[in-house]
Amino acid sequence: MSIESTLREGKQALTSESELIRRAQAGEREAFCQLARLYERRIYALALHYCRRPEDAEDLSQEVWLKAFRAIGGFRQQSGFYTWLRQITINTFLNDRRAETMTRDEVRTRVRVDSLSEMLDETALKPDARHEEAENGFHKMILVERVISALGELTPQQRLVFLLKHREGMTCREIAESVGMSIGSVKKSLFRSVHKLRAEMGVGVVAEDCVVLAAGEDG
Amino acid sequence: MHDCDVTQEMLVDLLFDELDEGPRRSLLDDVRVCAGCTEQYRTMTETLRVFDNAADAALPAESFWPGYEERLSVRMAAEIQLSLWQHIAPTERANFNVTILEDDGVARRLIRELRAAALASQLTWPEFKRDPFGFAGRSVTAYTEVAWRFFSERNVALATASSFALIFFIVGGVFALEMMGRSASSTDGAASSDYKFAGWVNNSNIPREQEKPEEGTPGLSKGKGGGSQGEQKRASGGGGGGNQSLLPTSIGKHAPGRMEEQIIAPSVRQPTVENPKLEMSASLKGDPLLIPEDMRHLPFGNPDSLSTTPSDGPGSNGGQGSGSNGGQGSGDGKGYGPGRNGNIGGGDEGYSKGGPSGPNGRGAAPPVDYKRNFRIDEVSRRAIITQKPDPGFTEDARKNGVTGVVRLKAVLSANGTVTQISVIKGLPDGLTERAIQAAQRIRFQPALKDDRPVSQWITLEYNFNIY
Repeated sequence: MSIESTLREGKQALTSESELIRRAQAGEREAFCQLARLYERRIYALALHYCRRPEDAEDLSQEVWLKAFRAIGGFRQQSGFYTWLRQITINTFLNDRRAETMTRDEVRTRVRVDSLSEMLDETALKPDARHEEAENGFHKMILVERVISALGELTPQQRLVFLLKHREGMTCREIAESVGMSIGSVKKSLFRSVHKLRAEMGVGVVAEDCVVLAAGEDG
Repeated sequence: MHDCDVTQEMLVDLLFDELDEGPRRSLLDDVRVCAGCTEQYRTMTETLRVFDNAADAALPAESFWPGYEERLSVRMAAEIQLSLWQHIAPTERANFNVTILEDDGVARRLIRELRAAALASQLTWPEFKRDPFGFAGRSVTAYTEVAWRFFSERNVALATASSFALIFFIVGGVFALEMMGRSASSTDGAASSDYKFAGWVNNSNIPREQEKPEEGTPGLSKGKGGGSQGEQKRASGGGGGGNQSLLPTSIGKHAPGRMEEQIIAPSVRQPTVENPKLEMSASLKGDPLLIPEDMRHLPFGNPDSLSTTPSDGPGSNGGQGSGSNGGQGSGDGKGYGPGRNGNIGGGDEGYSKGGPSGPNGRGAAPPVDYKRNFRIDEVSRRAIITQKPDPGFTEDARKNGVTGVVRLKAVLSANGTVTQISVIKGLPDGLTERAIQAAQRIRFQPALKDDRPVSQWITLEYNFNIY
């Protein structure tokens, strides 16, 4: 594909997004649904990793869309649509307490039950399923369980900061402005989050002669 | 020079690609020189990689999305139907925060909030320490911005403004009504014409604030009054008795006071009626609060007597003492002490009521004679002996080998001298005299009763031994 065609497609995509926004602002529900289809996976993924329970993730992500639907009339297109949508997402997450309600044991049980049943349904019980596939699926399920459980060790704010940085690729400054923290606090939060995740997921062993200190930590 | 702490503080920047190319290379070089830092960086990178694998795996399959979109569409339709007013001004609705109603109890929510606050303070403390003024400035700016954003929302602004307006109207209304009421009363000529100036009120006739009654347990403590009957004044009355004995009344307790008429007068002898139909004990006529029952197992008698020979005293007509007519003491009647007809306190029989109760004290009624000598248990603070001179030994006593105890009774008087020394038990060869001389040289602080120095009885024992 040539550069020109790529640029052309990108421009068309932007034009179609602007068009969809304009139509949605005029009250056209279908236009808004099309906009939602463009970003629903990203928002849902963020919500799932944030609150760790599929039904909560669906509820939370749909709340984001409902809020966006209500507020799209006020969107002035001074920033990108996704940037605007992401800020609504962050505000919704910060105002939501579902992320705190699940205990560690609950995570373990739920993930095990949900994922296992789903995975077995989809792979292991297929007539043509091979033994390796089933085993890989099982290992993946254990990994997911461990990571979801590890995320539960972070505070909701740490989780949000980590996801915005690592999954959304926002800069520390952008996160600081969006969440209402200082840049130093964002960095410290990231440092702690990575260390907690590493410890919970059992990745590597820290050398004994190295003292682990968080950025800006006193002593 | 490599510093693990500094390097590791910057690992987050390296890990999340927050550095420009130059500093990034420099930091990577710095990491490579230290095995510990390299391991840190490697494990952190590995953590993110594993996380990504798992995070992607946790996402739902493609078959999930049609159902998701269907459910979202239904919710949006419901939202539109439920919020018809949105169609009137769909572009005016601003983004607002949803209030979450939770099932958790207040305590749990409070704990959670406190934890969150603690965490926030923990996170921001280093930043504050590094640049306190900048931190404060940024905080003020941020909070101002948040507040402005909040209050500038249409609904919030409307609600706030209408609240203020409502309060203003309520307060203004109350104020206006008050003013109208005042002006109406000041212009009400019919009401004011009923009165005319008659002269100044004599200020001296206006009762002043009541004086606080003196403290005192009724009848037995500090205070004006005495007793539990009648008005607040001093109790009076008394009684006396005796059995025309040649001996003084023997030591003992007083009989309890009762308001009923006396049936049996106190005596050292027990009543001789065998198998009585109604068992009665000896009593005095008087206020039981002033003449309380003495629960000790003692015969009736004079508490101040030194005589141990049982006797009802030289008085007459029953009772005990030098008086007459069934009481105890020198008076006349069935009461106690000097006075007449009953009760206690001197003079004719009279009953009274004391002031409010107080913690200490033994009696405004009868009045305390502070000049008499008090027993050690009658004073509020015992005399404190500051010097006890040694009596020494006499040559004769030493020669004769006299040892033992000289016991003296004396008064440590209110003026600081030792008086009324009497010998209870003496020793020969001049030792008793030595003991008396030594007792006279005792220095002491007088006893106190009701904060007054008083004279106090004391027993002194001098042990004479030869070592």
